[in-house]
This record gives sequence, C-alpha cells and structure tokens, in this order.
Amino acid sequence: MKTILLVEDDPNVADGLVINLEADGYQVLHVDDGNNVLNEFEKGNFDLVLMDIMLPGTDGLTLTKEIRKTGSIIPIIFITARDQTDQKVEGLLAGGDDYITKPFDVSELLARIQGIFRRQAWLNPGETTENEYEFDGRSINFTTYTAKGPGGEVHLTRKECMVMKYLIERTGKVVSRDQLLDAVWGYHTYPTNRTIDNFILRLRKIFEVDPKQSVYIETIRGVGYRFTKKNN
Amino acid sequence: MSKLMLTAKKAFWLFICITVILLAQAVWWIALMAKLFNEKVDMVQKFGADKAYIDLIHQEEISRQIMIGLEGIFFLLLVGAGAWLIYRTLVKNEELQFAQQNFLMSVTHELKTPLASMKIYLDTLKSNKIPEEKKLTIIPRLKDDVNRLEKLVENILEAGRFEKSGYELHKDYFDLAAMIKTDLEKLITFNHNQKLEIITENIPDKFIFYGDRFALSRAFEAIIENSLKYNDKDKIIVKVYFKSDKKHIFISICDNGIGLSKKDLELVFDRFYRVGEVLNISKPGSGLGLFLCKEIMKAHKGNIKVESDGIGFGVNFKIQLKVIKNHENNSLS
Repeated sequence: MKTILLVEDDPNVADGLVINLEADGYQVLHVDDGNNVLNEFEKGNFDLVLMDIMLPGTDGLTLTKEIRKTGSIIPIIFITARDQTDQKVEGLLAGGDDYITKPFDVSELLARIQGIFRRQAWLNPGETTENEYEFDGRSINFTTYTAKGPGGEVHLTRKECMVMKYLIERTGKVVSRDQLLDAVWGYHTYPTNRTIDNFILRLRKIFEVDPKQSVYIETIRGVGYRFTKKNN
Repeated sequence: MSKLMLTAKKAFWLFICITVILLAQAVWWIALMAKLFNEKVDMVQKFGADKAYIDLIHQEEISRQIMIGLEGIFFLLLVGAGAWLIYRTLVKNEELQFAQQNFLMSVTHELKTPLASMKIYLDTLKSNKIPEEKKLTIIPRLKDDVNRLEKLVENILEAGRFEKSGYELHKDYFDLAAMIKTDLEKLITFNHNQKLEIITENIPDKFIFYGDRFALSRAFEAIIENSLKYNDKDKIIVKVYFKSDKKHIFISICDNGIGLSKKDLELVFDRFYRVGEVLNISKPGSGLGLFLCKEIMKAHKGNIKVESDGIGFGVNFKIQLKVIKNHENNSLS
C-alpha cells in the first residue's frame, strides 16, 4: 500500500482529502503545521507528498527545498490556492513534481497521483530489473539517478532521467517535444517546449564531448529529438 | 529584505541626496554672495569714495543680501519640503500597494480554501467508494465552509461600503451587557472543539447603551475570534472585563495567545494588515476584521487600542465607549 504524507493546514480540506485518498487505497498521514513536516517526513517511509504552500510555521516552498536538500526524490504535488503562472513556476522550481490549484476535483487529483506512480513505475520497474543503460563509455542508472559522461559522474533529477529513458527506449527514432511532455510531465500546463530544450541542453552537457556538436541527442529541426548510439 | 523595505530605503536615500545637494548649493551660494559683497566694497574703496558713501553702499548691500538670503532660505525650505513630501508619498504608496497585494493573496486563499473543501466534500458525497456513515459527518463541515465564506464576503462588502460612505450606524437603545453575554455564548457554541475558558468580570446584569447593536456585536466577536485564532495554547483563556463610570464604558478583552510584536501593535488596526509573512498566513481572515472594529468604535465616538508584552505574552484589547446620558441607565456596575 502506498503511503502519502498530506501537508494541509485547513482541517476540512484535509479531512475531505484523507477520506478520498483512503477510499482509493492509500495510507495517509496528515500534518497541519509546517514546523512538524520535516520531522514526520524523516520518521516515515512515504511514497508521495501532497503539499500546501501557505502554512503556519514553515511554508510549503521552503519545506520542499529542504526535502530536496536531503537528496530525496520523493514525488511532491503542490495543492494550493496560489494560481498565478509565476507562482506555479516557483513551486516547480522549488522541487515540486506537479501543481494543482484549489479548488480542484478530487478525481483530477487522484488521476495525477496515479499518473506520477505510473511514470515512476515505468522509470524504475523494480529492484530485480536491470536498470542501468550503457553506451559508448557512458552510462545512466535509473534507480540511483546517476549518470557517467566524459566529465565524470553526476546526479540527475527524476525528470532528466525520465527524458533520457524515453529517448533511449526509442533509440534511432525521432521523438517530438509533445511526446516528451506527455510521457514525462503527463500534462500540458507546464512546462513549455522551451523547458524541454533546457533539459536536453543539460543532458547534452553530461553525455556529449562538445554539447554544441551533439552526437547522441540530435535535434531534428521542427520536430524534436533523436537518441543514437555511435557504436552498436 | 522585502520589496517594501527596499523601496522605502531607496526613497530615503533619494531624499538624503536631494537634501545634501540643496545644502551644498546653499553653502556655495552664501560663499558667492559674501565674495560679491567684499568685491563691491573693495571696488568702491579703490575709487576713493568717501566714508559716508562707503557706509551707505555697505548698508544697502547688507539689506540686499539679507533679502536675497531670506528668499533663498525660503526657496530651499520649499524644495526640501517638496522632497520630503515626495519621499513620504513614495513610501505610503508602496505600503498601500503591499497591503493590497497582501489582501488579494489572503482573500484568494480565504475564498479558495472553503471552496476547495466544499468541492472535495461534494465529490465525496457523490463517490460510491465512501461509506454512508462517513458521508453523514460531512454535512456539518460543509456548513462550516459556507459560514466561513459568508463571513469573509460580509467583511469585504462592509469594508467596501465603509470606503464609499463611511460607517453608517443604525443606532438604538439596547442592552450592551446582554449583547456581550450572548456573543460569548455563541462563540463558546461555535468553538466547542477547542478547549476554551471565558472568564467574565464585572459584567452587569443590564446596561442600556445607545449605539448600533449589530456593529458593536460584530466588533466584539471579531476581537474574541482574533484571540481564539492567534492562540497556540492547549487551553485558550479569554478574560472579558467590564467597567463604567458616568461618562464612559471600558471593556477589556485579554487572552493567553501568541501576543503581538511592537511592530504589529502599531499596524494591527490598519486595513488589510495581516500578522506574519504572506506564505505563513494560514489563519483565516482578510485583514479587515480589526480595521472594521476600529472604525465601528470611532463611529461611536469611542476608541480601541491593543497592548501586548510581546510574542508569547497574549494581548489585551481595550475598548472605551462614550455613554449617552439622555436615557435611563439601569447599570448595576
């Protein structure tokens, strides 16, 4: 059973969410004060965090940054009344994986949670499965989120791993930006195509000798990207 | 550092720069005048003018320079006052913008949170996965949300009406002591989930007062709700003390809550002001409750102030209202 940490200060919103999440088969721990979140997070073994932003004590953005600082890659979904684009971007840059604005439909939240777990299962199918991919002296590990390139070993974010995995699974085939958005983010409100380009840029810096003369991750103008291995 | 503080700092340094330039100009100008004065006297002496003529020139020149000097000082003061006014306006404008942003953010949060809760509860009621007995517990909570929304909308509308035409009172004679007791009972009923002890002291059986019962009750409730909201103790204690003399009524409401900092004490009655950083403001409210309180008291020719020994020491709201004489008052206090 998956366990969710629900950080929400409003008792009614929290109560409604707990009822629905439990009915959907999740185990839920509810925390209503920002100051107690990190403590509970360290104690429990959670699979996902639902995080409100405006909280008594420490706010949700700071908490997310703190959780990420510990090296945790747990999926975090913001549930908040802050609905401006710059606020959403701020949340996602703080380390959130998804952002849903109040008021929302319970079914939409449940679908997003399922989507995150589904993508997580695709990225990391389980301990028994070989989850490292090697090519031309480079490697990427989808369990530890690490990659080795000409510059040495680096840590990747989950999204970077997912982009790489999606491209590798389609080696030699052109993948459009929309396909990447669908597979990695699962929705279209954020990010934009430009953000995908930034992810690709970072991945090229890891795997390419000269990121400007890309060998492995090629740009196909007007369409998207193609991953190719040099030596088969 | 907040944007507000940065702008205030910039405006302050701009004001200092203008003042320094003005002072430098004044010094330079005085030095120039003194030089011209000496040159003129030297020139007259050089041409061999007699002493009487030199004295006359001397006198004339002094009068002229006093006149120019005074005009110059007046001009400098005028420019200085202008610069000061610009500085104050900039800071005030920034404070207002900040307060309005704060208000918008708070209201967005306050409107959307009960809406979100209602939507979640309605989805829950529709769901087949939720047992019926669980659904029954939702109805009173849904009503809570409607009440929260109603209160917020009332506050916003009230503040809007006040902005347009001042606080309009509908005055009549009513029993103030009964109003206080009823309001306290209502609060105890509404907050039955919290461990709450209300201590009343010296409240008479009856005290006829001429004023707007609805407005005063609203102000009174707002203060006590504030005491309940900003309290982190397991047991909330609110003490209501009543005293009157021939001219005035004094009501004091003190609590064992989280208290107020010195800065907050000055600002807590300002419109849209909320205690705490924007992202940490999670207590329900719009920053209008205490502002309306102050306006209601002012409209009754009374006043309200707040005292606190600082964070952790609770607050003490002190209300003073004027007794209207031309009525039989059955005060027992």
